[in-house]
Amino acid sequence: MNRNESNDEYVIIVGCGRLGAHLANLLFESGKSVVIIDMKPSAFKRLAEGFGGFVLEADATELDILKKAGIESANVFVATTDDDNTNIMLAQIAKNIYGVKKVVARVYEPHRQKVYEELELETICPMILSAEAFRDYIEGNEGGE
Amino acid sequence: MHIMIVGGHSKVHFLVKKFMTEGRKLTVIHKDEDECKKLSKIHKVSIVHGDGTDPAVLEDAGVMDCDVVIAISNSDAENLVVCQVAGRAYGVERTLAVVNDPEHVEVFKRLGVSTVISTADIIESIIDQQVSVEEIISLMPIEEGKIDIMDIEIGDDFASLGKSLAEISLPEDSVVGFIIRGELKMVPRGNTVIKEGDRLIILALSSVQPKVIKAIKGRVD
Repeated sequence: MNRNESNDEYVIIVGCGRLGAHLANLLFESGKSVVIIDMKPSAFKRLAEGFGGFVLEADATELDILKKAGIESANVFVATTDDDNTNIMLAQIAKNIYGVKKVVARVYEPHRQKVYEELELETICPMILSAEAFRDYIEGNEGGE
Repeated sequence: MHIMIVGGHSKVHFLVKKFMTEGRKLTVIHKDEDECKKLSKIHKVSIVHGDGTDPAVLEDAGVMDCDVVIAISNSDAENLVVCQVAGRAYGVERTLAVVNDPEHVEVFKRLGVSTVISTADIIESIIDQQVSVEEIISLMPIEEGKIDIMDIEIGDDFASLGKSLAEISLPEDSVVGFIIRGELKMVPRGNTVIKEGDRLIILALSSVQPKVIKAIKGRVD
């Protein structure tokens, strides 16, 4: 039953860059319904061949497009465009206007954390994650020798 | 009043020019270095080169002392974030964002921006008004367009021509504030008779605008 519930999760991803596409592939493989939106048709080439989710070629900052993607029934919303401001705007639209339960935005700029906290947004900054992975590797190596 | 303007290319120059003649204190933030240099040569205002969505840049530029922050870049998302950082993180009371997508007006208001202006909406409403009644100029919308100040020039075929104000049945929630007759400018009384070429400055609720026009012209185009 639990497994079934998680399979029913409906995820919208905006931005089919390397991160967005990879995430879409992973989530599809784990059995979720995935819709991925990008303005550039060429971006969808990054999706795996077996990707069976929906793709939508459009500007997700238009409310009509989000509605078309089914935002009103989405459980998860991920903003991974290449522009921090767009991601922050999209995340707030999903969370505050459409009431999506789980919303997360990718951001490049780590030092604006204060703003994201102020707006009560969940953000992931790949640079910080990589730096931590590097640090763990380096420190782990030192310990191992 | 201290105003901060963030982003926007040629628009900034004219806004700065306008605000300066009104004697307001101004700070401009712009991402483009050349644009900053150009502005600094023309205007004696503080110009900060940087990204206005960055809290550190806003803080350095003195956002805390500003009464109004105006975000006029070409990106709706950028304008939203500028206003939110200024309003939520630094307590600026009045924030204004210009948007391209008219649907963002309601969205941005719900997300805490105090005033949102859609250029598409403004252009559309001006064209609508000019197409329907050429002699009438809506001078300025107040309260987001709920109240209009109209400037109507009396033509030779107008129903109100030759009548006194008391004889014209203007709808409720409208008033003729001024009549401009050549060099003469006067606050009309009930017995003031309307002549050809008079310009009537009328204050009215937008909802009764068609009735006002009908009362003055005798028809609605």
